[in-house]
Amino acid sequence: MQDVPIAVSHLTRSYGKRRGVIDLDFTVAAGEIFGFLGPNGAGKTTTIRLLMGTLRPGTGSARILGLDCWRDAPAVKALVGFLPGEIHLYEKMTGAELLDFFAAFRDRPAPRRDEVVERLQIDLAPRIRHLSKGNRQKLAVAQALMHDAPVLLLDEPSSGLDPLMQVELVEILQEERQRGKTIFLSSHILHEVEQIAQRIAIIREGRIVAIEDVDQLRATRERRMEVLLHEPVDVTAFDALPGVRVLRVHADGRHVDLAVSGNPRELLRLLGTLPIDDLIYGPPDLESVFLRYYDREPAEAAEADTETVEVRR
Amino acid sequence: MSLVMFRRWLWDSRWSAIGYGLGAAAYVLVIIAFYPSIRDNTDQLDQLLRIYPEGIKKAFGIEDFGTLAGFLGAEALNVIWPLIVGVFAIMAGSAVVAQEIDSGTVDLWLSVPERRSRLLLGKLAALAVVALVIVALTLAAIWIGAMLVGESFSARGYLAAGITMLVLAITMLAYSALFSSFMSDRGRAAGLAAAVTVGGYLAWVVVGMSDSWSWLRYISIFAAYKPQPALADGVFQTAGLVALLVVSAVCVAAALALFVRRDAIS
Repeated sequence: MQDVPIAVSHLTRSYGKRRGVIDLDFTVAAGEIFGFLGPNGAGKTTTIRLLMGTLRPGTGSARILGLDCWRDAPAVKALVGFLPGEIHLYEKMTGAELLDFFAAFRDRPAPRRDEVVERLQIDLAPRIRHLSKGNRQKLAVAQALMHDAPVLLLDEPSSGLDPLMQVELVEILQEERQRGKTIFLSSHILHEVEQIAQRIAIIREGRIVAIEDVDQLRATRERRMEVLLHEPVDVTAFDALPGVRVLRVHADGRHVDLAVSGNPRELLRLLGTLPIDDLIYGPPDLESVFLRYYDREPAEAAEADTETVEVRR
Repeated sequence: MSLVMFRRWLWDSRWSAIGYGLGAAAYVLVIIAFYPSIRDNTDQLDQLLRIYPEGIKKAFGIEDFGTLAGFLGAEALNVIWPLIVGVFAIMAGSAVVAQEIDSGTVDLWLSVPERRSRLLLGKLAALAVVALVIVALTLAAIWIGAMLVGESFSARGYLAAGITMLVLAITMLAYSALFSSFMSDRGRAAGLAAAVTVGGYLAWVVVGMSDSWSWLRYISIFAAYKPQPALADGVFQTAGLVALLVVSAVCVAAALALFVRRDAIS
């Protein structure tokens, strides 16, 4: 067990009114990217703070490379590159000063700093208070990666980055994994985590509701399709297809919302025969995954306006 | 103590050191510049002082205007200097933990591989050095000013006054840091520290006005603060200063104990 990069055992911590985590239990293997997925307020940041030893555990334990995250916090932090969820940096420092400061605490000060800074195209000269949100995020990501630490704890790493940088970040993290790094990555965006993680834990209201291999999740999770039709059609034809559910038909009958899982080939064939005006095929979303674990409609559907008719199976 | 944190905090506090230090020094020099005209009219001033209420004299530390130490005490060191340094100590002390939480930087701050206690001690040591710089600049101003008006104090006088002033500053820093260590709002920590400081000052004024309230001196940090006899005669208020150092040590120990155990989140 000594070598397990991240081992969380029956970890519970509650504070405030509705915040906290309950009985978390998971391990992350060496060289794995582990996605920690949940809506805002589900307990992702709390979990990362417990791993970083900024929050004291209630019951249970969190260990990184065999060290207790609360009792051995300084030793744990020497093994971790950390990116906080909300980026608040020292405004008066320049980017270079910030990286210098965080490097100075380590035995090997920031061996990969230059490489990471170049890769993320960061200008280290301006004071942080003059940086945009995206540039602050890049600086914080560089801070996490520059130590060449064996374990990376990244809380919503792509938040605030422009799409090109998000792609770059995914590549960087995959390379880090190939170098043997263990990466714990939180997000509330399913398709982002899907691209990169091998396993995904899904957390909701402080509890882990599932831990699945990404391939398995990808095969079963649903994507939303909105079909805009020139004239009303018989929606039972959709329901008859494998992996297709009709979620809603809007009152005029010309706007159909579908949930699609698996291969969409059959569905596309059917759509080819219909008077289509337009089509939206959304990325997989978290709510649709939750539907598999909870016997209820997503909040979005429950709040649907009165002009729509809900179709339930 | 974390040397990295110490160096960083000292560097971040450099403008405080320069601003408060030069401010205090400039004030002292301006006051000393008025001294020669006072010295030449001592008789009239003593008559004026006789009709001053005791409470006012006590509140502003007015004892005699006839000597440079007395004049400097009344016009600068007894009240204005603690006020200037109190603002620095309360603002800087209340920032050590609560500001990191307040501004959301605490997650990053505590992500470094260093014990919390050593991080906090690094900051406190840096602030003690800043207090020392402010005291040193004040003493330098007194030395220069005294020379310019043809007066002088003994080396022991400077030493006693310097230690008296430094101990007061450190005490104010220590309890401000204590409030910061368990609070999450820098403004509240500063407010509490200011309340303790003003309360201590009022208690000290009341002590001077009525014997029946003399027990209040035990709860006022200003009871041991007597820079005027220290500067003039090299007198140390040994028991009082030791008591203040003990209070400071207890505050720092409590701050460390609270900080290492608390949930450090915004």
